[in-house]
Formats: sequence, C-alpha cells, structure tokens
Amino acid sequence: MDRFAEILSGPHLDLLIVGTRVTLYMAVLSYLLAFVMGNVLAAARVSPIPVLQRAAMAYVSVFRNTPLIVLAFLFWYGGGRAGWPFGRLTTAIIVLGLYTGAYIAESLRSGINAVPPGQAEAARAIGLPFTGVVGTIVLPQAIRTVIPPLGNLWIANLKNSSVFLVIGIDELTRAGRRIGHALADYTSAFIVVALIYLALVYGSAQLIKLIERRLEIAR
Amino acid sequence: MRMQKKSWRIAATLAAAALVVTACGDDNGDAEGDGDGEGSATEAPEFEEGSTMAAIQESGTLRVGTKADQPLFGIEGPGGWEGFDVEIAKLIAEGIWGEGGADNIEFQEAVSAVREEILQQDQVDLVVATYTINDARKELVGFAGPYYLAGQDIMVAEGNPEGIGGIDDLNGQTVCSVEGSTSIENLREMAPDAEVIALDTYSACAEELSQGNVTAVTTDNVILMGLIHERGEFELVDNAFTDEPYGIGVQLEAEDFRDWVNDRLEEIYDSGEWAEAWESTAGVVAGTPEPPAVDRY
Repeated sequence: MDRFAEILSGPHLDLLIVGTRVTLYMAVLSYLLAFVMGNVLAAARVSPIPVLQRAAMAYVSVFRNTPLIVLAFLFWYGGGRAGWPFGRLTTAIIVLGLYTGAYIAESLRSGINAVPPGQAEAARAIGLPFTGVVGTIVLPQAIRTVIPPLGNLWIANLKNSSVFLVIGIDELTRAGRRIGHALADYTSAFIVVALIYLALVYGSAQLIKLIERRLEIAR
Repeated sequence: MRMQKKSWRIAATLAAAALVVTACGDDNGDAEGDGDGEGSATEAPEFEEGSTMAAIQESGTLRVGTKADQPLFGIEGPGGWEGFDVEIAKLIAEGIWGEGGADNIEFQEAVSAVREEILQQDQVDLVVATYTINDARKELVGFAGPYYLAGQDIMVAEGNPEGIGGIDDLNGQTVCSVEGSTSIENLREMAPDAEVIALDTYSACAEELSQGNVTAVTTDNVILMGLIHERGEFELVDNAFTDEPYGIGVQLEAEDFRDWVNDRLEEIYDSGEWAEAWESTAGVVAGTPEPPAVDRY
C-alpha cells in the first residue's frame, strides 16, 4: 500500500498526469483524423469511379496489414530521411490517425452496405449528385449502424497510442516504465498504469453507450 | 658489525641488479637497433617457481576473456580479435613470454554477466572486457589496474554545431539516451533543464542525432566511441563527467599475478606501449588520455 502511495505522490504522480494528458491528447486528435480519413475512404470505396475505389482499397490494405510499430518507425525515421516535416508528437498523431482511419473506413463500408439500396436509388431518382447521395442519405444512416464498432475503434485507438513510446513520446506507458525503473517495482507501477487505462476506456465506453442510445431514438 | 655487513650485502645486490638491468637494455639495443616499435619486454623473464606467472608461462597459453562486440575495445572481426582491451592483453602476454608472446593468447568472449563466473571457474586467467572496478566485484575477483578511466560522455553531430563542451551545456538542449539506464538518470540529474528523449537503444539515439532531431546523445564514452566508429558522422565531446575505472580481472586467489599485472601496466605506461595501443584502436575517435594510476588496494 505504501508503494502505491509513493507512486501516487510527488514526481511520480506528475509523470502519470503528464503521461495521461499526452495519451488522451493523442487519442482524441488521432481519432478525429481517423474519422475524417475513414469517411473519405469509405466514400471512395463506394464511389462509381474505379480509380478512387482502387486507391482507397490500396490504402486500407497497406495500413491494415502493417503493424503499427512498423509504421511508427517508418514514418518517423524513414520519413525523417525523406524530408517529413512534422515533429515527434504530430507524427505520432498522424500515423495513429492514418492507421485507425483504415479500420474506420472498413467499418463504415459495412455500414453503407447495410443501408438498403433503395435509399440510394431514391436519392438518385430525385436528382441528388453522388456527393449528396452519400453525404446526406447513405453515410448518416451508415454511421448510426456502426456506432458500436466505431466505439471499439476509439478504445483500440486510445490503447494503441502506447506504441509511440518507441519513438520517444512520453505518454502513459512510458511514465509507467520510468516509475517502475525508479522504484525498481514494475508490477506496482504497471498496476497503476493499467488502472488509469481502464478508467479512460471505461469512461469513454459509457459515453459511447450514451451516444448510441441518442442516435437510436433518432432513427 | 653485523648491521654493517648486512647493508653491504644489500648494496652489492642492488649494484648487481643494476648491472643486469643495464646489460639487458644494451643487449636489446644491439639486437634490435634503433627500431621505434621496440617494446618493454623482448625477452621472457624468469618467474619464481610456484607463482601463477610461472604456471602460465609453463602452460604456454594465456586464457583471456574479452568482449566480442564492443567496437574499438574488444571485437571479434574477420581479422581476429581487435581493440584496446585486446592490445592490453597482448602486452601482458609479452610480459610473460617476451616478444611474440601475444601468439600464446587464447581469447574467448566474456559477456558482462559471466565475467566473474569464468574467473571463479578457472576458465580464464584474465578478463580484459570493459570491466568496471567496484566493491561488489572485488569480493568475487581480483582487479589489477585501472588501465583506463571510462566515463559518461556526450556525442554530437560532426563539427559540434551547438558548441557543446560538457554536461552543463546540455541544459536547454534536446538530448537522447536509453530509458532505464544509469546514463539517463545522470542526465536528468546533472542537466535538469535538458529536454530528454528516452528511447530503447543507443542506435535509435544515433539515428535521432543523425536526423538532427536531438542535439546530443549521452552514455558511456566507450559505447559512444563505438557508434562514432561505426557511423562516422558524429564526434565525441571528450569531456567525461563520471568515472568508470576499467580494471583487469584476475582470479581472487592469484594475488601474485595481480601484483605482477600492476607492475606490467606501469611498465607499458612508461614505455609508451599503452599509448600506442590506445592510438591504434580507440585513438581513432578520441584523444589519448593520461594512463590512470594503478590502484594496489
């Protein structure tokens, strides 16, 4: 018990607070990027233009089939050599967003496929252009059906942010390693870190449930 | 009367010894001419019977444990064993058998974790393997030396663009080291205003430095020298701010051997062979230091 009091006070607590803040910051911003990417990619996948379809398909297969840690190294070190202009934290957020974006695109596509084809046909019949059909009729309905998988992806995205400690981001898992090393007690340090992740994930899962219920009524 | 007689005998012995030493020196001079590669030990000395040195000399092999993966200090390359530690071992062998004695060394890899064990189990006679002398280890093995004072140092980009001269200059700079190492703790303590980037390996830190993401990398100078040697695009600040005295490990019981290795170290300090060994190995990336005083604890 003394050990936990030690972890939750003084410089160790500061490390945990800073780490939690960085983790949340990364998770929120990268998820926003992922959501935008996912929508664009899903729209491209169902568009009538073959080039767009193929490009979106290629993107999804590259980002889904590459381990996140490999992408992190590739963008930060490989990109650095090729003139990649962004800083460490920005790079981490972008890579995480691009990665999760591929998964969101696939979720949305399955949601789009679940919207009865009559909906799109009717939209086209009243003269809406492709962007109108997708943007105002299909996607809003698709998103509603995929709220639960999108919630799962938010959780995965939050936890995946820990990978970026390998390129020197001082996020929550890194804080756990520092405290574990300083106290020569990784077990206690990571029990605390795991509880913080649990609180973050559990809290956001409750929020997702709330959103899900709201949108259900609207349907 | 007796007293006088005794001191006369001592004086005579000393005079005889002096003659022998001078004679030896002359012999060498005649035999070798004025060659500048001339070492301090060209002839095999005679060791007291029953001593560790006599046993080794008789056996015809000196078993040495060294690092096989530490560039510039101990590395097993295509051309055999190389590095400063390897050169030191060779000079010790020459002290046992005279010139050519280095051929009698049987090298084996000594990774950090097994250095005490291989001495205790009589698998080696000597360990010369970037081996820091400390009190805990002194309980397990004997240490001759130190023969080199290593320490934590700083590596910067070639030309040292930020003009880093020492640990204090790292305040306000972005500096890379490895999480969980003593080096990173020293950095956080001694340069509290440095922005610390903590990675998992020193080669990742080197990559950060190479890409200009950090100003400096800090850890033991021996590791930094290896990185500089391998990649050739960095330089050492060469202003160590911690002390890691490297010693030569011998078996704990072999006190006569420890004393003799200490004598031999002083001999190669004086003859310049120690400096030569440095210059031909680690000297390619760092200036030649003063040899440290041997500690006969």
